[in-house]
Amino acid sequence: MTLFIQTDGGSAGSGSVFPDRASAHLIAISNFDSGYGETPGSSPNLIQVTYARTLSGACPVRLDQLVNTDFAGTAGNVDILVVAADTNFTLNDGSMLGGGFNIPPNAMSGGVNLNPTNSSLVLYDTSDNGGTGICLQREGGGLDLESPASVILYHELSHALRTCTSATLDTTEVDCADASDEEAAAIVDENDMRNQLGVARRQPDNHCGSLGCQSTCCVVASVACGSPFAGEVNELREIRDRMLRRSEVGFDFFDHLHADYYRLSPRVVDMMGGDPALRTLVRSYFVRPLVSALQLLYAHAVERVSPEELEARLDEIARSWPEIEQLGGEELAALRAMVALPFAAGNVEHTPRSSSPHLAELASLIETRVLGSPFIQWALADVLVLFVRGLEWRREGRSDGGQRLAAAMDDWSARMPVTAVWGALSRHEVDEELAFLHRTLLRAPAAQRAFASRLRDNVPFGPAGEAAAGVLEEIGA
Amino acid sequence: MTDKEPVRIRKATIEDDGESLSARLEIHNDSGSTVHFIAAVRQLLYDPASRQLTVRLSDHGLAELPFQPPFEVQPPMAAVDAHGRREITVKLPRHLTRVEPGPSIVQLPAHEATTVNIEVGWSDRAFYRDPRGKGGGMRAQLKKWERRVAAYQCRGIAKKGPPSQPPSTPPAAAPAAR
Repeated sequence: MTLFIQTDGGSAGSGSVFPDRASAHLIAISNFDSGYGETPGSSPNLIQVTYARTLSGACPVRLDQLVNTDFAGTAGNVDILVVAADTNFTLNDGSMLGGGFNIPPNAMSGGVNLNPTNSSLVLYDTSDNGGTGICLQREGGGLDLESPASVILYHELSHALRTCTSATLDTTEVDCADASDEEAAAIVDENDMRNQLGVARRQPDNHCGSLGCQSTCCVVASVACGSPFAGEVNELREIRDRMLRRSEVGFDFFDHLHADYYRLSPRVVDMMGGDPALRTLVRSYFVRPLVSALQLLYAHAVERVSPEELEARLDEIARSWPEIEQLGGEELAALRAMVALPFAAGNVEHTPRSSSPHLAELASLIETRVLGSPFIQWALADVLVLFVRGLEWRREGRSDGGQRLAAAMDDWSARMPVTAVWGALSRHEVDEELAFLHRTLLRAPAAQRAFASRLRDNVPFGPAGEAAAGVLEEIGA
Repeated sequence: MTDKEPVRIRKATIEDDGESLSARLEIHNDSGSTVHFIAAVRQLLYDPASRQLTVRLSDHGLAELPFQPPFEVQPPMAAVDAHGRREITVKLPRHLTRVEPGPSIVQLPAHEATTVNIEVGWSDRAFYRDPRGKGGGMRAQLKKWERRVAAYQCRGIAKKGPPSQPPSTPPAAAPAAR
């Protein structure tokens, strides 16, 4: 057994290394094989990966080789340590992580030992370059290919395998547009992982990248749907970037949301790894409803459709979706309650049609981590509740379903969390942010007024407070 | 660096908001032509003993790595017009994370620095990757491109508090006119 995940001394998931993310990415590499496992390593800082492979395919076979080969006879008893990091990580010479590295034991640079361990160190950035993304060259195409973190890990593990078997190829690279033999081999391997994920392949002889792509969307949705580029995930990403992330306030909001989301998502991804029933449940009852709800919100807040049109669009969504269409009133109520308050009144037991053994744990995660985060609560849980509410009104045959849904959306939009960034903006910037929110989120004057009131209460002094007071005066009590 | 340097960091402040550090740099170009500089952190060093944090927006002094990243990316660049000034803000982590022998992960508390040394590499020409295959890796090319390094030293890191509030007692009323 040779593959280990490095933790930060027991407080898994905190600090600037993220062992839960390493687990999630290795599970993705195994193609969610139920034979993937983990056990405490020889030191409290290490998790040992175990793998009793049940699936075929290049990536599971490669993982099997990495986990179950004893490299002791070939490369000085070398193990492989996986460190899932972010952009805070610095090498021992102070240089920044920059995507990832496979660092052989005792590799020196400028007199500094960059890997003082006895193992091959696989470091990789799980933050997509701090959220800005990196674009690579698509096979036969342009520089527009994204880099999911599991692909980066697989790329570095390709180097690590050759390090451990003393088979490293020529690393001479005179220009990134003409990749070294070693890099080209890792890119060829990386394409196996891209094939498994169902995403476009990378040009093997091009090692160049540029800043700008983003693939850090929605890891739970990506796993539930089988790919970070599945239709639902693309929808989520597009709505995120189209509606909110374009403004200072929206960008800051998503910074908070991502931070809280990554406290929840790796465990959900982990659970889904060996539990196809849970994957189906998450896709059918969380991801797809979320996408539909956001589409309806966009229609209401940006396209400004009428309540009747909103109701018609909800009807169209429900009719095209058998799992939802066949849910009865009680099941819809249970689904809503599952998201809103999982353990109340034994809601978890009534969750729609799933044999997943992880339902109780999922409910517990929602209870402890979703309800504890105002950002996840507002952006994910409350949106799901809105959608299920709409379905309930539809099932009840209410004639005012569209109006109720529109009013609920207005009420929801006014509850957007107010972050500290408002206090740092100039008056001009605050005015621009408010105007943007009025165009894209806060459609109704009542919602604009309610949000301004909350903004004034949260940031009473300075430009934000003044601007909020101005909005209240303009709209009237 | 002397006052005759054409490109200078005239002012730099580092703020700690409890989640990350923000370094705001004011870069002045006293020369008659546009200059270009690296607008991203390339090297971060913290010495807990002296509580010195070194922030380099420069590849100066970095040796070539004996291994490669999964992709070679050009760092973001920014420009300052002739006789102009440019302000940029870069985010820095509060803790630097490293792997030490053991192995174990250590976190160095960069936010406790009492001295922050900032260096920015610049050139009077824009950076373009050398496609001829003669320039070496990105790091080597950037080192060749950098003409000089502008430096600045800050004392301490300011803690960023909540927005300032007015005094708790209202100002004294002016005496009524008789």
